[in-house]
Amino acid sequence: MTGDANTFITPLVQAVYTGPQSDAIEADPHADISKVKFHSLLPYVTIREVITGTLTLEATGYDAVAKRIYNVHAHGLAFVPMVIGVALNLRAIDTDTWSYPPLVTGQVPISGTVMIGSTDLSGYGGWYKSKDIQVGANATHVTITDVQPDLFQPPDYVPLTSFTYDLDYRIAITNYALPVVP
Amino acid sequence: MTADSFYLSPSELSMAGGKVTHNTSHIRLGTGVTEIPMHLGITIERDTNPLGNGYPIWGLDGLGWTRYSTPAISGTSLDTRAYGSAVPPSNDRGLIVPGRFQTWSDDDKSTFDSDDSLLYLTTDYTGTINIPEVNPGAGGTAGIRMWNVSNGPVLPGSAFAQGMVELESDIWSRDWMAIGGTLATVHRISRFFGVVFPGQPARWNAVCTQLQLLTPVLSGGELYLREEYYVASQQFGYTFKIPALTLNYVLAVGGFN
Repeated sequence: MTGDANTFITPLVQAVYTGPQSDAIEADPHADISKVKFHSLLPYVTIREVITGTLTLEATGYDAVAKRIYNVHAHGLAFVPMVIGVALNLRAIDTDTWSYPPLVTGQVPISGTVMIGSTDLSGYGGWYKSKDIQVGANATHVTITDVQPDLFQPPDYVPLTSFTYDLDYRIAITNYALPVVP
Repeated sequence: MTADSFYLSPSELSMAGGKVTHNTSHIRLGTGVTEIPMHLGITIERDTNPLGNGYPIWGLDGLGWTRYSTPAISGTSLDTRAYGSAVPPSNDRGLIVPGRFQTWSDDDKSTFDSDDSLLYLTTDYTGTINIPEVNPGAGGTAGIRMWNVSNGPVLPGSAFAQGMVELESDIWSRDWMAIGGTLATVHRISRFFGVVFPGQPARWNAVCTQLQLLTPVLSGGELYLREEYYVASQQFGYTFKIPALTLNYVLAVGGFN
């Protein structure tokens, strides 16, 4: 067939693509990725499980370098999975400014660091308290890490007391196994 | 199609009534009353029947079809390309037509449709970057460093990078963190008691003294980790610096169709 759409299925390869029949595309989706609608040789990310919940981030309990790791879910996998998180109720300002607009609450992806803001002034110089939040994983659990940026003076840099926050989260646990690095 | 009318798994073949025999009322391969084309992608060899050539039996190894034979299965894949004229099956379980592949669950919920915009990956990059310490000395410093990840052009169709980084430094201890946006590996604001502005009394101040940000970026057709750092001077007892960081990364580059 030399039509404008093709579905190619063998026990080894399944492909759906536009344009004329192409042995090259069927053998390798990168032969013309722009025509590929689906190809089993592409490494798609699939979701093993989606978890939701509420985690109470405490105001204290940080370690010596001012972070606190919460195990939020036992993933039960034989590998450390790649995870993609969403904060369902992140509290922050929605404008990049030096003034003090009202804090708003919204849904944002956590793929890196997000900051939870507050209107609580820390002591010692005045500064609105905040938390740096990351989503991660270890050998057994999906984790959420709370970093406290506000520290006391040198030489010990003791973490100052932060604030509590009930963080609503949704985290997708993928089939993507992270490598074991010695 | 009801759930118990026909069932095929690697260990079982069952039909309505629970009977699986070589009778002509059931599935036969090539010799029954009704010839059923089964494209298995394999060749089924005729059994060397211990009961004699007058009673040939065909079977599938491991399917429990026959108690007489367990023939070998080998051969060349069949071409099962869909060339047209296919129609949606009445049970809405799956549809294969030229240019489209769809599946549905039992409750008719769509579970896959190749016409949807799909997120795909083109390449996975794994490796290690050793980021050296930045010591600001008495002056303080800031900068940007680009760490090449792909070490060459990424494949066409690459539009994003998403993954995880395992961080090991004075701050982190082998923790995998999701990255795609900006990840703050160091963010520390310390307190300082003293005179900031001449003529004013000494007071407590908050000083943003240590910050390191990592962001995966596609630039010039290659994948980088962009590092931005800011660190205040080492005065008044401060010892802040950007610590050495060992960064194991898994970054999946992909796109959308």
